[in-house]
Amino acid sequence: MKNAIEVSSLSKHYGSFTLDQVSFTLPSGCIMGLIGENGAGKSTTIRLLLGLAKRTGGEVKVLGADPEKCEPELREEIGVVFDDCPFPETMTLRDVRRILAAAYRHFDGARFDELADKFALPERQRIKEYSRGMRMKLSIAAALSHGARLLIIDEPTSGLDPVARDELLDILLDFIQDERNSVLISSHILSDLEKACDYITFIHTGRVVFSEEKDELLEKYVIAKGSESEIDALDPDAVVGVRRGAFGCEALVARAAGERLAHERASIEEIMLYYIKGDAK
Amino acid sequence: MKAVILGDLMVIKSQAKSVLLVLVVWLAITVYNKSGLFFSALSVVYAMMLPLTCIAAYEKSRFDRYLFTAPVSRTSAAMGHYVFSIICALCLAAIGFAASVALGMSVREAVYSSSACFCIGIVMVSVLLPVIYKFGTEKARLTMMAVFVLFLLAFGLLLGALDVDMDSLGDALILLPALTLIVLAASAAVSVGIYKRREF
Repeated sequence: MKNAIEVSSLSKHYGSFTLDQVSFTLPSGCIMGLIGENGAGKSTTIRLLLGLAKRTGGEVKVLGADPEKCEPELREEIGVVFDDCPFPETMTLRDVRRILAAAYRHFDGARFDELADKFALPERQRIKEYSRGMRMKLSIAAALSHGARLLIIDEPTSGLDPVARDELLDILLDFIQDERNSVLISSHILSDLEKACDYITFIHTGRVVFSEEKDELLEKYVIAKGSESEIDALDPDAVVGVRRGAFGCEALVARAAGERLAHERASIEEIMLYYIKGDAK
Repeated sequence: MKAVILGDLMVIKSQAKSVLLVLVVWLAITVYNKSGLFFSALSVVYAMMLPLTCIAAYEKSRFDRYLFTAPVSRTSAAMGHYVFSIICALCLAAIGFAASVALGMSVREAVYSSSACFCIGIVMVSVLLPVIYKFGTEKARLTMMAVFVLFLLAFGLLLGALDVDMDSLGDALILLPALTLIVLAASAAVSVGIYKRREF
């Protein structure tokens, strides 16, 4: 399969919020980071991809199928990790194992046990006694133990310490070693995404601002620094956003335009921030 | 459906001590009063409380949302809680039956009383589950109390209005299983409809 996810003109209306004509494609074998502010539409997009909500318009194909049709075969192939552990907190690791075995036809108990061992998850302790990192690892062990070809992960790293976040990224990179596997991950911690992702899709107020290969994106922009007059002299079409300070100006600009001034590499986080806040060109 | 029923059992298992303690206290009162009917009547309330407890635990962790990302259909998830409720009500009716017989009630009477309580429990669960699916467990708790009180009031008023004596009421109980099945089927259909439309 060429693409793990194909989203075209996806729309959803909720009261005052609208997810508006969202389109992006995640090629198989890649990791895509879904970025944006709180309330931008990342989680809504993920819920629509999982068939947990019904779209108002557009087309969605996840592993070649429409998620709203809720085909069991499709669900077997999707591993989902939400921002908090989805299992009732009175349950133990054993209870979760039994439920997964009942829910998934292709549940691999040996793989689940192997991951639980690797993550040092206590077998008899209740989930409510687990740390936040352990809960996240349990969710990941569940997602990886039924032969999933696509991982969809919503805000997994918020609240995790740097070591746990790094471990999570290693797991994702390990998962993606099989070129048939793919990952869609939304996160606020953009430095994590920058380490792991092949593609970045940025959603702002319900619309896709860009959906591009990460390396191309990082190559495309620089942060140019100079006096106000130097920045103002830049081609307005090349400028994404400007920050004016007491000691000079900085602007996110297309590399070709910015290289004439003093400049530095722009991170994904800076690119996002300039798009959102640095709009005073 | 198996995953949902197992999930319910796991939640109740984690509260086994308190669940068993309540049953033991009721059994003690039942033995003290020498009336198995007491246990059977209280089991109606318990038959409503156990699924409510499970679904509340699901809501807290958003486990139902997770299940719908797994190969668990919305129909089987909705029906899973019904099956669990029926299992609970059957177990409680069996204990009530055993207690009644042990305390000297005839087997025929014990079958009637336990079956009647089982059916009433299922009718109440049938009213409660669609409300839980639609409005969540917090509002459903109020509904549970209201359903119970209204049921007793309506039952009492109906008996008074129709001037029914207890013997003819016993004959009318034969209709209760059929009535229970109708209410259960209607409730299940409504619940499945609610679950299918619900967004998570």
